[in-house]
Amino acid sequence: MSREVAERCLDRLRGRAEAAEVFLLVRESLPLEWEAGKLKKARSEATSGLALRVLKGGRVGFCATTDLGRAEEAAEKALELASLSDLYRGEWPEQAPSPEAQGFYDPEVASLTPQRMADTGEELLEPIRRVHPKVQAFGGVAREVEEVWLLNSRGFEGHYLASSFGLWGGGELVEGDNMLSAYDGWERRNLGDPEGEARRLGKKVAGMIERGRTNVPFRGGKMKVLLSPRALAHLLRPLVAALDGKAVEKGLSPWKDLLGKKVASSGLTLIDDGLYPFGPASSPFDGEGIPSRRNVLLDRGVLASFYHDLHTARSLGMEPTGNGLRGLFSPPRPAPRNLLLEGGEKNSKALLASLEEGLLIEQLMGAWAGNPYSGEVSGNVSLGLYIRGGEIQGRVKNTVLSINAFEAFREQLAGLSSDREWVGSSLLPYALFESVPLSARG
Amino acid sequence: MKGLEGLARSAKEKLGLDYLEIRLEETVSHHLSFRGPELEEASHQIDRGGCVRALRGSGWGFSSFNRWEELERRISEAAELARVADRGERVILAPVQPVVDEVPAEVGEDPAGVPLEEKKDILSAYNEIILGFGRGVATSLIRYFDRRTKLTFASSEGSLIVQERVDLGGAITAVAAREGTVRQVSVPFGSGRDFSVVRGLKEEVQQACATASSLLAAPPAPGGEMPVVLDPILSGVFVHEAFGHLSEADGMHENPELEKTMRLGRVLGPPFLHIFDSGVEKGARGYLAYDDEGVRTEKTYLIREGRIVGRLHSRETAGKMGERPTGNARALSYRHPPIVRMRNTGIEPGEASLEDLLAEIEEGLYCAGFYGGETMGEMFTFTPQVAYRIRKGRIEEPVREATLSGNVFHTLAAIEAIGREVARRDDGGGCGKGGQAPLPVSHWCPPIRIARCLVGGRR
Repeated sequence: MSREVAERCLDRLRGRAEAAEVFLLVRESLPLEWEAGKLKKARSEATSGLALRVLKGGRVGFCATTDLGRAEEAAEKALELASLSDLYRGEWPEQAPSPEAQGFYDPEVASLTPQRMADTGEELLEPIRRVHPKVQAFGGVAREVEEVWLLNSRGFEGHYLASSFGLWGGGELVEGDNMLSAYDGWERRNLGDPEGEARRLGKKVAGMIERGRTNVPFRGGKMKVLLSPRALAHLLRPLVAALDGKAVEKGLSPWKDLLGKKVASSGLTLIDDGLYPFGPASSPFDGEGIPSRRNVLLDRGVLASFYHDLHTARSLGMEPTGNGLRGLFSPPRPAPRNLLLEGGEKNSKALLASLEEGLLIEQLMGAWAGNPYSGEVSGNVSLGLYIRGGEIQGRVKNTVLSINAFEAFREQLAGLSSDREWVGSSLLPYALFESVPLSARG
Repeated sequence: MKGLEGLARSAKEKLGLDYLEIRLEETVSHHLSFRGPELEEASHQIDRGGCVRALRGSGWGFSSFNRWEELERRISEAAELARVADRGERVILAPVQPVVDEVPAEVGEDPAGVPLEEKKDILSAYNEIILGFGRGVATSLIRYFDRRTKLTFASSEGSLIVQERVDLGGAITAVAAREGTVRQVSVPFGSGRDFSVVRGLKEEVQQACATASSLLAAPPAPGGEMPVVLDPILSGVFVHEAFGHLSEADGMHENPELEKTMRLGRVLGPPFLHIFDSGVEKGARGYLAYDDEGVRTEKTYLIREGRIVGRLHSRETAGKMGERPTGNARALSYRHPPIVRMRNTGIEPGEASLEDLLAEIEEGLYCAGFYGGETMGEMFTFTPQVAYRIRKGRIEEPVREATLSGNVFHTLAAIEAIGREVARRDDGGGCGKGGQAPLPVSHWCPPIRIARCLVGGRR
């Protein structure tokens, strides 16, 4: 039924605009959430809506609605808005991508019952609850299925189903004026072995709480820092911003003129992969109908490509990369898919054991705030462990890390672990940096 | 939607629930954005949806949807999910009087009455100031949105409340760039009532350009503990992160250890420190007549004379702790259940002028504007947009942005002086919690001086 609405919109616009496009989304998600150690909420979220883009006079108008009864009104609105915008350079595709691409949908996720999800969550929380009687464990188990239709008046018609399964868990421990909080989680498109992975995740969080319970005095200074994948994601933010085709087009990216040049240590290889099997950001095509693919962004430290939507690719005279991502209410714009940062030779345990003196930073707080194009990353070390002689001594508090990400990846990177973890849609190793400034309350 | 409360009541009885509420929502919104000379996006959105929240024993079931015609099926689904989640101690909701009310939007200059072309022209004029400024100012980023929402709330206890809300905001950003160095400074705006906040920003935009340009050559910030003076905007983010989040009772209503640590009467700040969170300031983005549990909002004092005197509640947290609900249960939209959130969080003004705040500082930082902040446990961060060295009581050269960090048990006590001028001004951002962001909030605050604050710097 929804698809008919989409076609009606296209028909209505035919002949009145150069081109029209309808994006249709139907999504059902079910997260179960635990608070204070107990299952507390079970939520079902059903979303259905459509977004229209209309190209008229070389300009694009955008309108979206979750009220399918007003789809035709939305089509008129999009037509009207086109006159306000500036020139659009993208060329929408005519042919649907080959239907062979796979690795986006797992029927086992769709058929997961709330009862099994509830049991999976209990497996996740159990190790966290056991660390200490006062620990407040929290967590969640979620499943989601979405169906996407993309049609345009040039003849493109694409459709896919995608599933998603996520687990997250954490614990909070308050002992007088000393508070400790640890958290981890991930999502992906297939189910795998949920109970086994829930137990592993629970044990991991429990280990973080266990190791963070003892505080040690810390005076700050410059030293080696081993960042967990979750903390490393904050340092990657300026790089991801500099690689954005939109930032390049608008002259915001500090890397805009450095294609083919060395911008980072030769240990750094970063790949964007929209087809990574069951990766959280995988799909057969992007929000504009461009087939997903694998792009090398940084090749052993050399800037190899940017990521683009159709407009930025065309206006820079570069190849589209399948990175025009959209939400129901936001038009396509360049965004990374699954970002894969290549690991090194040693595992994270060996990197930690090699530290004569340094910090293992599990979590950074507030480090997302700031102008990404400046590269300045500064955050409170919300969970950091002091290392001496390769051994964890205890937790440091009231400490702020400050680093320039561009400089750090060029000059301070001393190693990446062979083991990697998913953080959102990025697959990241542990990363060792040298002489990182740490300010502490002392 | 007359009769919705009757439907809620009969469904509650029929399905053996303890409580049931229905929310229906219709929002129409407009967005405009510029990057450089081009209007990048002009969009229009029509969002219509609803949700059902059902309580059975200890479990909440929640079902959100776009098709209102599915309401009855979604009621059954929420009841079924509540059964799945019902595994422990019964939830007690603090009692409230059922309310039947209609709250129309109170608007000044209504954004709906300003044609999109005129909005575009106003923003274009700011854009031209930035693009013509020179001195390294290379490009611009401008973001604007407005929305009008009609919310209907009905509960099995007989409440039926229809509220209309207006919300608008955005930021005008000057970007300076030279040899791979990029600096940006924004002029934020926001209102829960009045489009006129978008007008008359010309001088501020010029100032932002000059500041962005001056930051091109700025050295990294000094690191370590030092005295800081926060402008009213950053002071607002400070109070939100430093104490607002820790006052949210959903962190402690089932955590006796935290309740003990944050006990009422505990002294955390100087006797001249008073912190509140309020839903009653009309025009603020954090203003709301009723929260998303149908509870009338109020001005809630969190700290008076340096002592903890209150906290922010939903009906569930208030019921558990034997306190009174404060009207802080808020949901970002029909897609989310209400959770405990702030509204307009502020510090009561003191006596000091800006000169008084700076006067006694030998060396320190003056921090203005904000990028954001975060709280985890007793520690928190807040990041200014611009920071300047203070030497001998004078504001001198700018330094690059750096995150400031505090600890609720040290930093509130280190507040030395509070300014007298409150900035009754909103931005276009919002607060994030539990996957619900950006929720409109306000921070109407005076500037403050903190004797010792940890600054993350590279020198």
